[in-house]
Amino acid sequence: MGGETMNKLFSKVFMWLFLGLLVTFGIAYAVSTNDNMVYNLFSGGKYWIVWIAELVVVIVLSARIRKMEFTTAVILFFLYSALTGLTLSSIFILYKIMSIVWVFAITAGVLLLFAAIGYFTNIDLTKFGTFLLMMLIAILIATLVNMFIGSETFDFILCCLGIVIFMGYIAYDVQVVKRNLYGIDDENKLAIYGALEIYLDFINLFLRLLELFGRSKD
Amino acid sequence: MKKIIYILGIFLLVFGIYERLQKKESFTFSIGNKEGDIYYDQEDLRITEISMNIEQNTKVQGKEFQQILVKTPLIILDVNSLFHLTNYHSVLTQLDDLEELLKLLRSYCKEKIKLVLLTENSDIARYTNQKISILCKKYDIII
Repeated sequence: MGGETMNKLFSKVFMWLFLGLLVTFGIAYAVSTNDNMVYNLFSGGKYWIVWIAELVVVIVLSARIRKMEFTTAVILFFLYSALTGLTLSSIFILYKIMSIVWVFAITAGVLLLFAAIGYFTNIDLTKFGTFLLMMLIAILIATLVNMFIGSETFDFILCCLGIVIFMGYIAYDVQVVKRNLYGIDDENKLAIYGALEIYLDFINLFLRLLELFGRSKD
Repeated sequence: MKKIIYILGIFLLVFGIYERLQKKESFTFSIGNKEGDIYYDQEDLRITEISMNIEQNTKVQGKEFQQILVKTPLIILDVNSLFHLTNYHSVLTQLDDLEELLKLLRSYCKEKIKLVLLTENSDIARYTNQKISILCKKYDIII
């Protein structure tokens, strides 16, 4: 792809990313204004239903992106963003709003920095894909184990490691989109899919930074 | 694969946040006595008055009534000061009011509700306790 085409593609990727985040945080804030709704969401297994719905949407979007209509891809992307908004509503109850805004801004800054690294570097980052995935699985298993142990120090270490990995993933995903390693021919659909990948990096990074720097209410 | 792990990661992090939220807001709420961290008790308190205050969402110690019921992991309802055992007819009316209250409490509180039965030793108190126990079973309330 030429320079101009690439600029056009990434403009679309970041536009969808911005809109997705707007939907997520808009819904999270709106839901958080009703405490009953948040507590109801987390009780009686409803949280599991939302989580399974998120999984289904992402799996369908990933598996069918090449064959589905662009409009369907857009709808699924926003549906996923909205579902994530539901699950993130609890952060607005636990953390101070200014703290959330600051961490969001920091995450956006980190995202832009590492996206630029991924975009401009000549180093082939795609070869780190397996390493990053292995690290991610290791962190996930360790997080699960720590849920039973409850060590705050271990939690802190995992949080820091998670931040490093997601920084790496942002650069990696940007390069994968740039090289179109997904094999998606339609530029619009590639933009949506790229936005979803970077969106997931953003949310994961944001939650870990919030855990580290966020200030809770009271 | 990567996305499933990502979503699982988000799930764990958000669940951790919710657990902390619950721990932070863990308090007991008592109605009819002053034993809970937050309590609702006053002179000559009537069962219908409690139901009305829940419906109107009045403030209890600075917090909204309905919010307290939703958030608390344990409600203790002491009926000793609420029941007036003057005659059987009046007890039946009060039992109807109590059923309305229990229904209302259960609709807001998905956690534990504990009811403290009448401690008075009389036939009418024993009869009332028996009827209350049936209601407690119906609305999944511990006695």
